[in-house]
Amino acid sequence: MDAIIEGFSLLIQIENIILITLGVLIGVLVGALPGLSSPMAIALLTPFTIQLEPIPAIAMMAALYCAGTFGGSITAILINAPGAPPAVATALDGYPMAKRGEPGRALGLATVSSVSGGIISLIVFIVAAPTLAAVALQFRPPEYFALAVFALSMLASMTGKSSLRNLISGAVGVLLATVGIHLTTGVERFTFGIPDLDEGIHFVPVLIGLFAMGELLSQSSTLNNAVERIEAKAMKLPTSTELKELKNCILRSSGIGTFIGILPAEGSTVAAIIGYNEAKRFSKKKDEFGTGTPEGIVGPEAANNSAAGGAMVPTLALGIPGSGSTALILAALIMHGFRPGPYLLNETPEFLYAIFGAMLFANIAFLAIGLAGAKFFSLVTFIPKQLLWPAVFIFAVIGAYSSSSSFVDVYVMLVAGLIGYFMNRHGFGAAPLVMGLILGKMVEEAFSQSMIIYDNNFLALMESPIVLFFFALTAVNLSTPFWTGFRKRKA
Amino acid sequence: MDNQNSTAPSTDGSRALGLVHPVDLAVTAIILAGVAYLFYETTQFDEVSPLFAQNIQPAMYPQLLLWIIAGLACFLPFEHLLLAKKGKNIDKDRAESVHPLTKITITFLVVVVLASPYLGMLLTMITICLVMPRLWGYKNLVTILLFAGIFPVVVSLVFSKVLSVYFDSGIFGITL
Repeated sequence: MDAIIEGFSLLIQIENIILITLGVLIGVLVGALPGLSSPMAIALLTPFTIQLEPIPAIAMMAALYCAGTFGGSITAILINAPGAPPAVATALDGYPMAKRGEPGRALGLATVSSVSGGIISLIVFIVAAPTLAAVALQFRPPEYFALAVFALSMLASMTGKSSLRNLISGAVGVLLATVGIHLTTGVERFTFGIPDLDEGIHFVPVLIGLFAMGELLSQSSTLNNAVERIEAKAMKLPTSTELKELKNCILRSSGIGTFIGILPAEGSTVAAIIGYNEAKRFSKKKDEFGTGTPEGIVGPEAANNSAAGGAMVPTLALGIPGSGSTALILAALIMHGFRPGPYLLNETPEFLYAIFGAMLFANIAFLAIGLAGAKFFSLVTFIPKQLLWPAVFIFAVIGAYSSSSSFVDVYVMLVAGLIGYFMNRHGFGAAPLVMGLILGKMVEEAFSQSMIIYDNNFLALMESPIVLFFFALTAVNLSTPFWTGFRKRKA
Repeated sequence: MDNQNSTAPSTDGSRALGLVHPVDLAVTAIILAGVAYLFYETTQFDEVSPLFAQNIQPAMYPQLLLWIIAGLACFLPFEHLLLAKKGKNIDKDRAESVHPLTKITITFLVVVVLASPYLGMLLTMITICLVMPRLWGYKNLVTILLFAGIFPVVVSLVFSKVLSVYFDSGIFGITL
């Protein structure tokens, strides 16, 4: 309890509140603008937060992450183009409701369900994180190795075009993590005689390149796509009767979203789609789905926002990112000198609760932003892409440059962007690569330490029931796509 | 003749393909070439005594990863068969060749980034704001001039004065 109070008190400083509010505003703005995404915004923000104290820096990113998921629903409802992938299911009923003259009501339903989902997942976060961390304290290198392998195997089921391509991207990310001087032996690996690579690949320029530059190039081919925009004058909150009717749907979707968020590599998009499907399955008015029914909005919105909170549980308690955005937050934590995992919770619990407080603040801020800024955010969607993306490029250049005041990092960013664009074109996602990059060092370190513990006997790893459990999960996870395919063919 | 039929567009806009996807075959070849080169690189890593390396040489782990990547890549040319059964079209984003505007944008970005050490950060930003909207077909010249005049200056002031980011002034020595 003391840690919770201390964590919250750390936030109650004027500059911290300003930074978190700024994070929320940037997040909603980025989420509302089609093409811009929260991982991209977090990647662009990372170099500038290095100068900040760790708590406001990470709190700002966490707030941005929550807000980005919510912001995506604004464009999904008003222009039928999800500002962020997790809002894809919101458009199915949000846009028809807006089109029939109720954009304010659609935004109100999205806001209230987002806030509810976010808060419910944070309650789970505050309860589950210490429990998970207490369990994780029993983990030794072999258990961490098995857990990281399981997390990497989850890339197979991550949202994207194909499991195979996600796994290849993840493996390439793990390989990139080997660049630099090998910690155990001091041997240079893949440095190609470039001194800048001795410390390994710099996260920031690569992240900015993959997320911002890759998307910029993709956007250049969609400039002529016309969209019909609906202007929202004000947000209309749902009535108490309406809320009573939707209560079960919100609670169910929040539960689904939180659970999916906790699973490594499963993100808000999967949660939103399942939330929508489950809302439809339990609905008494199944036929109205797709025509602008309230359940079709609150189902995915509660699920995608609760998944955002849920994804922070494995990120902070185990050091295993739950999504692309949380992988970036994890990278920022490492840059600030923290070691994510059970030690973080046991040694600096106030830090964890400060992040929790920032996310709670962000969720409550959605209501205020939705009420006061609905009109502004609906106008934001009118910014021409031809002016928006040069601005993003400028932030990308400054972000890459400022991390070490070096133009080499700008070149790295550009190359990463070009690779990211062609990877995306051929179905290889940037998020699995980043998750591989983050988990890569952990996998190798844990593996080396395990081999020392077990005197290079790999089979001895299986003596641990936790290792066996995670390896079994990994096997099930990797074989599921083939198994379901086989069963379908048989049927 | 069969080959011609196999690449003919089908009614849903996707292409009917044979056992091997030709584009993915090329992607696999690129990945395998990269893997082969990197594998060769790992053979050049220094070796350390087994005692010091705890029996795990520095090259072992990257080599293991390269084997995994190569193994997975070998399935790529056949993956479309599985994806088609799931109703997924892997060719959706690459059905058309790279858009001419994307090629022009890539060229511009490469040129402006390579020129940035000489131009300095402020002039680089102004160039981006002036050229990119025009390249992307934005016609309102007044808006572009206002954008190029105000945005880089505001960004420079915020980052250099508030966030203390050092901006290179380039060979022209232009900075705020």
